[in-house]
Amino acid sequence: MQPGVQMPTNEGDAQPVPTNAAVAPDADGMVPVAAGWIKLGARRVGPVPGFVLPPAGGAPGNAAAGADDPSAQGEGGAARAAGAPPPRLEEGQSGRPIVPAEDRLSPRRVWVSAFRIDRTEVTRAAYAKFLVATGYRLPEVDENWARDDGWNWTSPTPPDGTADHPVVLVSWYDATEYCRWRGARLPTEAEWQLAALGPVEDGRIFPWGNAWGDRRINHGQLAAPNFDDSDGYLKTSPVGSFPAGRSPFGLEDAFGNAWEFTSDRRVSSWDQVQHKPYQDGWTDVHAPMPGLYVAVRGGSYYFDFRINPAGERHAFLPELRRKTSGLRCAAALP
Amino acid sequence: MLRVGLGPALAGLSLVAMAAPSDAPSPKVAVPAGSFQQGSATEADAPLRTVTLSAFQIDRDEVSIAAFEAFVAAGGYSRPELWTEPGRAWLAEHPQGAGANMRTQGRPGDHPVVAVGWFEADAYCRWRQGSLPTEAQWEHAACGEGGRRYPWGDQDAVDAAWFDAGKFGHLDGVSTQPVAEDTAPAGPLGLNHTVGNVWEWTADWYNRDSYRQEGDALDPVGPANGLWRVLRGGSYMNLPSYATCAHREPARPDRVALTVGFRCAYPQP
Repeated sequence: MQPGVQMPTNEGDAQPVPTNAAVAPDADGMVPVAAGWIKLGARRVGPVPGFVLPPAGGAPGNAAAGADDPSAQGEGGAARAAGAPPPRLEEGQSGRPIVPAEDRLSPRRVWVSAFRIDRTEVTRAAYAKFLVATGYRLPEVDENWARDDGWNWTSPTPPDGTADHPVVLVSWYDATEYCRWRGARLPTEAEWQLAALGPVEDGRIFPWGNAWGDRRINHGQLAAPNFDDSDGYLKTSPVGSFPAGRSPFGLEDAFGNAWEFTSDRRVSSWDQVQHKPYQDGWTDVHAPMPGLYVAVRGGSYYFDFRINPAGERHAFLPELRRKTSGLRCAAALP
Repeated sequence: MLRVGLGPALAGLSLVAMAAPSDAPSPKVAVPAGSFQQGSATEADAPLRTVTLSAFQIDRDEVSIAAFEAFVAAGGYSRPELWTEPGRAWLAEHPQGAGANMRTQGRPGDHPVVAVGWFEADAYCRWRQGSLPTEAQWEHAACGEGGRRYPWGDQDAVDAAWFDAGKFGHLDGVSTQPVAEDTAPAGPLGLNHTVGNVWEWTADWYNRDSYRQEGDALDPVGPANGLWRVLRGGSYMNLPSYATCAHREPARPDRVALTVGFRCAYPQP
């Protein structure tokens, strides 16, 4: 942590925040999500209350051009070659919102119908079954950061000791194929938000409430190397390791651990989004691919939520296999 | 063809590049019969094996927007004889494909066509009396005898446009390059954009273990069936590690993506 950077420590404040109850999954590992209203779009831009940004220029260490995953750009892990132009998508590390300006859609009132969603992020053990059954490509990237740090799979078996961790190093296409193999699909962004934060009237900015809790999720930290073990885990953690961060519908690790793909592409205007009218808002809101970016939610072990709670809304290139990109699947109610 | 180091100096002088895009198809390049090392030591694209191919021809360039729209204008989407049986079923649901606007993405006609699925690519190549290249044909044409990471060798081409787009993630304004102008170093046969620019459809079904199952092979055509066809060569939206000689990417035949195009192969005349 940066010296001089004050972190909010809302845990233990006058109003203790209760932990959401565990929900038993069905035979498919899914939990039901009741229909409800959400506000979709940028909800909040800027640091959480009480958080003091480091001086202009960003935290020391961030400027170091690393050999780390260059695809992590935008998560605070910027690896930038000398002479390269500065990225136009600003990173969370600088204290600026990571959501690109063109993506800051004014919030819309959106009705989400009931559905089911995986209680946990898809584990590596579960993904291995898909790889064995289908002959699909391994989670593998032919780069040093992926080899040296043990991310790559060298067979359709998870790297040692990580079977119950979320699968990462999957692209949006990989995620889509996995869910399809299970007879499921990726959630829309609207569905994901309802499942993670509950209906809008509850007013949560985190799955458990409104106050930051440093040990409620597997998060990253402000400064390079961005990995952070103050929550007990430097990288991914076994799914369900943070019951205090559970969502109102019983989702484990909705925030933190691994980013989760949605079925929506990034859009620059609500005009590009399919929807139907419903009461005083919209329903069936969806912006299907193809697009150059796909919307991801939930942040990761590599992302600092203290900078920007709304930063849990982000966009990835759909083809890249990142060390932070995971998923959970959704389906209709039985 | 513009190459590294010459591009900026020649850009203003190249009358060919400045001319209105032609809908003429790509020139063909002859590939003599021979053997090469296919695959990579990297597990996802392993193992290395020796493949022997009969002589064939292949497009020097990726199929341009203008060349593909000539196929559309010639009634390509309305000629069942150009389509396979599953292709006709797909066509019934998508009589115009993704549409000209999606294929063009606002780019000039000399850029590669995108947002075409495997069925459309296959039909286009039949229209040209060819076929999609097999994985082995693609890899041999791009990388010669093999044993190299990229068509030009093992070095990253850090100043090639296809590279930094994917790396730095700031892609606004970054797009494809014209099919006949490649700023990456040349491969052994002078094909343009085999790696980078857009992914390219191949004829083969994908299976992770197909090299292992087949072993060394003569004119391999891949598994008899599958769920995914193989994409090759990466795109301007990828890291360079996806744009290598050996990288194999599985994709549903109906994938419509803004980074996927193709080139055709032909029997030796």
